[in-house]
Amino acid sequence: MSIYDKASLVLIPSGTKTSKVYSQKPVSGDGDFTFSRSTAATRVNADGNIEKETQNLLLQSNSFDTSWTKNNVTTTSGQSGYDGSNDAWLLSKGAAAFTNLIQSVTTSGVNTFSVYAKSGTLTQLTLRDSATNIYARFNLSDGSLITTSGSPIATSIEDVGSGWYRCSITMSMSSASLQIYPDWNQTTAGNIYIQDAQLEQGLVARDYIETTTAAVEGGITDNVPRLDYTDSSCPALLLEPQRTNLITHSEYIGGYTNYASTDTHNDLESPEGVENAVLFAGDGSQSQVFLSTPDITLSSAGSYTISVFAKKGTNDYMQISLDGFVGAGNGSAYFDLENGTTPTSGASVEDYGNGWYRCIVVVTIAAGDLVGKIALRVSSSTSSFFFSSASEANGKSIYIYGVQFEQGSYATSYIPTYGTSVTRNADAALKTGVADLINDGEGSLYMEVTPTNFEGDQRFGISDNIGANRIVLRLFNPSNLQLSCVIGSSVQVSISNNGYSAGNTYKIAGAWKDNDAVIYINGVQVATDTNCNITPSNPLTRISFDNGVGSAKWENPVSQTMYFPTRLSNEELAELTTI
Amino acid sequence: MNTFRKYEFGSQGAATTKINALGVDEEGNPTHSHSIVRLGHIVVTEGTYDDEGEELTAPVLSDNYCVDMLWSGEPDPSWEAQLVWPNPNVLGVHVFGSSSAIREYISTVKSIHPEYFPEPSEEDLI
Repeated sequence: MSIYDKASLVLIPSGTKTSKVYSQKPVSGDGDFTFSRSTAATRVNADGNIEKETQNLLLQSNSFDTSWTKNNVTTTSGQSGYDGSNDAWLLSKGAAAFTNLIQSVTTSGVNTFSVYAKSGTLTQLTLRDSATNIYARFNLSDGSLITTSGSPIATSIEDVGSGWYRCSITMSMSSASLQIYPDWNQTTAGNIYIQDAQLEQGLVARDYIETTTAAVEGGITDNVPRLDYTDSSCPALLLEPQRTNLITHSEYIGGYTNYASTDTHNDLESPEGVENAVLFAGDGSQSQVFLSTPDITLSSAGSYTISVFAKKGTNDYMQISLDGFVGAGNGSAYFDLENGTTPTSGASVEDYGNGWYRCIVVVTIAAGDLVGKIALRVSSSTSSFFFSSASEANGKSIYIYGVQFEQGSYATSYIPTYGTSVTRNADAALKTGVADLINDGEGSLYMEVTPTNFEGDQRFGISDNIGANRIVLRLFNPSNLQLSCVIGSSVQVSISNNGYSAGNTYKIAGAWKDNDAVIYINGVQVATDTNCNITPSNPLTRISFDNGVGSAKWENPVSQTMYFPTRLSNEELAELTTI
Repeated sequence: MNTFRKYEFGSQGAATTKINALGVDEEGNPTHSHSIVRLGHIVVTEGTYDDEGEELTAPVLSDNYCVDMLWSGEPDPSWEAQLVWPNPNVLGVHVFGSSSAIREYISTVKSIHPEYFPEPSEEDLI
């Protein structure tokens, strides 16, 4: 019999659905974990790209005879579409003024409005928000942009074949009245074809989502577990604490203070795999080049982490610094974007592929000044941000994406923001009512993890669901791994070792029965306890990534876990945990 | 269904008292499942800075201490006295990243304060 065969519960994260993480054992599904996180989030997907929540905020996104108001136009369904379907619509106008389809939407921040379109007897499409009078007019005969008004953040017309184009306009908006004009000309009657309208947060149009009577979210939305592929072809279940990105615009920099730079949105493919990175370049007017965020106010002092995805352009170096926040510690850091390194203590770099690096610096905010900004500089080296002259700075460029500023001493997964700061809530995974899988008197727990942090007090294990009896593997600050058995509210086992660190892989196993408890880490027995009584006062019924009552949540990626209803032999524990 | 709401308190201490009343264990961990973000005294007027980032005038902060809540279910009625509906940006400076909760919040604001959402004029619609 293999060690695996002895396990009553095995979780190798590979299958999920909303609110559920599937376990490999038991095959009945009785050991599947219930998952919750009451907000959206992001992950690195199997393609290595950052994946977000997706959405379509429009109603009846491809039924232009329902939630859309018609102004001197008619719509006819059943037309041949860009996707080979017959789901396109003929949008016809008379020789009149004000000919359009309208839908009012309440949203906020930076949004992108997109429509697939093809020329008919007319060759123009205009997309407009009448509340702000921002619009873009596209030529459907040659795929060009004719004109814009009101300074949209970005526009795009993409050839999708067979004469069809996906046209989009990106704007800041709140109460929007979105309009589709088949042509602006008031004296000409005619038609164009349209299909699949979408409104979504962000700087670019992403995959289309059909809607009917309500807006629809997809991707990593509320309660969707995250299988994260960072640095690996094998996924880990990503469990993180609640964090807030205090930057109100993480991708759109129009509200930032710009000094001697020209900045172009949607200039390069970002780590998200879509073209929404910002080109940040010196304009030659000064010998330093920077962007700084609007004022940020913090509610308390302590450790905060700044992170920015960056890629070299014509320049190899970047500086991140605090402005304001008087008295802050470690308030600036330099990064080498050619080699993916930093000389600054307290700073680090993570490789996201394709030349992109996540540049991270942990700062300490002093209680005396809780207001300030984050500044990004195209810098001349890893020791100075001044170029030798203004002309030397001219054209020196880097690309940036995903600015994040969060309370805590390490960076968590990216939290996109489009006009307000945003909180991603904590992940939680547990299974109750599994007394049939658990042996109260003895057992073994196993985890394989590559921690990103050793912060706080993080636990995984079995319990009676009220906390009087709980047996957990525990990771805690600053570098400790532990087996803890609390039986009848009395600590019976607390055996641990320290000196472990983030970024390394650990295979941890704890095993217990009366007067015989042990913990193995990476094939080595690190501690034992021969004086313990394992007779729970209540049945053990719950397995969870916390302390058994919802606190001390596990806040690190998990590659594998197993529970065994027997105390495995020391030889088995050594074999199980050998790297 | 989670419910997103915004609150203001006269002081940080008053906010802490109210938050702790929701339940904490002996180690200070919350015993409830609501999500809380302390925004503190938020910026109401931006500071001004010179070309090198040096502060010319300090930002002006709100007198009140702000707290955002994502309630598990319906809001606690005892928090009603501190409930606020910021205007004009509707969402204020912070949200929880839940599209469904944001949608419910905007819908509720719209019903209570329709003046925050002016209807487009006939001229706008042309």
